[in-house]
Amino acid sequence: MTSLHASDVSLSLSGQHILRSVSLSVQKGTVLGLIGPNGAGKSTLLRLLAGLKMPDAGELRLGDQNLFAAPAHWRARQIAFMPQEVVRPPPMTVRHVAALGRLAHGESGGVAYTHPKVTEALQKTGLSESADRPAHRLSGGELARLALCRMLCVDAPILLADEPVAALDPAHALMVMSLFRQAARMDGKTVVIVLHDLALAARFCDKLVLMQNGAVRAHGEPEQVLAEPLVRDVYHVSTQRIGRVPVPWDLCS
Amino acid sequence: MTKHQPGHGLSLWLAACVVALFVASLWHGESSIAGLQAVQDSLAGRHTAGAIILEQLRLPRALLGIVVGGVLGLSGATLQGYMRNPLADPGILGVSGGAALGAVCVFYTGLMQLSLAALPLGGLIGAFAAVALLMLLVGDGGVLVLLLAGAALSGFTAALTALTLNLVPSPYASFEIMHWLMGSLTDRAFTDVAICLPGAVLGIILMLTTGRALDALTLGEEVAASMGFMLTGWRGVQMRVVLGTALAVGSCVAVSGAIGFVGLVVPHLLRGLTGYQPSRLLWPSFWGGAALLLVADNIVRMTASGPELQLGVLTALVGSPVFFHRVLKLRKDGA
Repeated sequence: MTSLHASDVSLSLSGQHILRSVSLSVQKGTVLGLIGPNGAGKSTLLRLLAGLKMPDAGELRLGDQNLFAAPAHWRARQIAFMPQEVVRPPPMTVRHVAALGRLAHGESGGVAYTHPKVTEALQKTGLSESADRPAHRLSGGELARLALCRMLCVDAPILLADEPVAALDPAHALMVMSLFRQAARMDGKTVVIVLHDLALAARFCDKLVLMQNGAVRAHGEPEQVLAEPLVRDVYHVSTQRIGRVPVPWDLCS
Repeated sequence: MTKHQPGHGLSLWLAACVVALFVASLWHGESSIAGLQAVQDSLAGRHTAGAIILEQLRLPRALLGIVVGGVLGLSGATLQGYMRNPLADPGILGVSGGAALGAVCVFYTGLMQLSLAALPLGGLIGAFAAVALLMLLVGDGGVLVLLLAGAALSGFTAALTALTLNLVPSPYASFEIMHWLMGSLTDRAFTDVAICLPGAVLGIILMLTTGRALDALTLGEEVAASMGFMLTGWRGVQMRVVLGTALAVGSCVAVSGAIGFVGLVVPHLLRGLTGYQPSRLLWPSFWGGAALLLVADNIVRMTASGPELQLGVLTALVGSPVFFHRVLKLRKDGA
């Protein structure tokens, strides 16, 4: 039920092809990384998977259910989404912002504020101690954790995040990625993350989809997708392996 | 775990203030009447001077104070929540300008001589025409389109109002128009309440249905949409916000004239007390707006022995220092 599928999905905007016949599957309890250069269509694909935009052609399914045939409130309970730019919240407390995730279930006020899922999500993301702090004063790393916390409060089986570690230092990036992987491993969530950091993608994702010009260029295990010739061709950079992880090293001449 | 943020308690407290101010508005006025006797006469159906003053003058004026003030406060809170901009104000949609233009046209054409209801009806027609034009302009567009459409409509109606003032043949009519534009509740009757109420009530209901969506929007439009809230389209949150504020504000401005700053200042003053959560701000802003306008109207009536101070002037005089304070606070906070 909680596997996510895209079949031959295409989208054009203003006459320009953004996605061309994209197909992919994400299984329950796994982390899929969407990688590729800027403008490859990763974020657009993620928005389609979140049900925020309809494709021109193709089908998106959640288990056996067509994503766009289902009512919006059902989708909201199945899929939690983190956009590329996390909006700095108003001066509400951290717990209040996290509890906004319960709006997907039609819960607000005291019911949401005291919901066990909110307390659990605050604990999992290490924000229990900060629950009463004003959210707008959090650091970038803490804000990213709060965004993840809000997603966990939705208690949706699918988590979709667009570059959740783009603005984070290595320690916070590792922490946030670990939390996503933990959500997949421990809680059986299906996770799709757009990433630019190939090292993090190799380390934390079970499967990778490499996109180029709106199409899937490669799909599979990180070792296969991050093979030197493929990365060189798509990103125009050479890589060096540090341990098991390929790291972009130099621009191709 | 901290206590749940207040909202209902504040609403109750403000509602109690409104009730007290409402009673004070009935008791207090230019003519001195025996309050309890007037109430008894009124309930017994006796047409004494006190009962007539209470029924025909003070009651509709106080009721309009609650409705107009409440609508302005609630509209300000709704628009500020929707646009995520604490400077959004009911006037931003251009519907107040439409109502003002409609009323000014009634002055200009002399239709006012036909009936006392002509002026508010003209205002209402102007407001509804502005709402229809705004809806057509905005369509499926987002917040930016709404802001631009509102600015265009405000500018256009202000230009037409200025043109009417420019062309008006009599200086007396010009003075009347200027006077009306400053906003007042003086000499309003139950006809005005009847004209204002349907649009105001419908608008209030529409605005109050947006609370949860406004909370979700604090996380951004995409997150709100992912949580199942339809933002644009005919059944979307934007439609309820725009139609609700436009109907309610248009209906109120049609009977009271333009009363500024209430919609801007009241949500500002109450936001911190409601934990900065937009849904919790709606009811307190309604009661806060009603209380502020009743206070202002009572002050206007207290100073009625000299040249009458217009309500809109007073609210602007009270509202501006609040913003000066805000500017100084922002500077101090280094924002």
